[in-house]
Amino acid sequence: MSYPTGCFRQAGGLRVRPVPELETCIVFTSRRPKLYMLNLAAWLVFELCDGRGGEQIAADYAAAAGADRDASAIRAEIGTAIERLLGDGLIEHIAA
Amino acid sequence: MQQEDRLATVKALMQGRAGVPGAPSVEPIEPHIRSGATFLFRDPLKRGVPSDEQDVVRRLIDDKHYVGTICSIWGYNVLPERAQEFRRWLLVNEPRLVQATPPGVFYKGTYAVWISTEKEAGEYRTVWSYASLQAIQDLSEAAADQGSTFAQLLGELVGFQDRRPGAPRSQEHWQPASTAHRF
Repeated sequence: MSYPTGCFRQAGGLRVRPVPELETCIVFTSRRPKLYMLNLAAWLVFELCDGRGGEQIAADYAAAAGADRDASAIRAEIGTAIERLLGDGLIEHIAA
Repeated sequence: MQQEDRLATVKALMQGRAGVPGAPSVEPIEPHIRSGATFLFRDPLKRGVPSDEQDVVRRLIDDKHYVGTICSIWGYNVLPERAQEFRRWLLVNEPRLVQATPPGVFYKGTYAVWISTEKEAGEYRTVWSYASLQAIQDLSEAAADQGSTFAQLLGELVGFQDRRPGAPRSQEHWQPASTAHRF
């Protein structure tokens, strides 16, 4: 699994409401009015999108969530999550 | 909360949990507007309802044909792994709950839904009836009285409900159609 070069950041116009007691985060995309619920893993990927590149996100995700897990499985998860977050307009890609 | 604070929060949650976290999941939330607003509420045994109609309703209540004049129905799921525990709890505690309700509040049982067209209303229904609108307020007050048997039992009953986001839940309030005013 490879990631596009460049980095990722959260899209503008979002309203982000963590619900830590339920291990979820609710995000409202005001530009395209819709609500999304992120589970804990997706929430972590979303918050790691602060200008980091895909490789860095995967490394930091693994450090926080899955030191004992298969690296390729984690990379695949991150790739899928990034694609989904991009598709739903929660994050954006900044080309290198 | 700023992004860096949220990141610290989610990292702490992730590191504090046991076992392997589930795969990332992003799900759209579809809001449901659940107001009914078909009927104006009126207590069948109070002013506004002709006395002869009140007599009919009162007789049906007294003869236990009607569930009640004011009813509420809570719909919810119980996690399958707790279903047997829930069943045993009901066997032991439903008679206690009946006895512990405040005056004017009637516990009418908890039912398992074995066929329904409503997918999101829950697999169980707990039915209450009230002698008056005041009794609804009395139920809330008794539920908040943490020292009472009723509050303890109600807390245990509600504690079986699946409260995870998206879990099926519903609530309905009924009045006898015979005296309901439709607008």
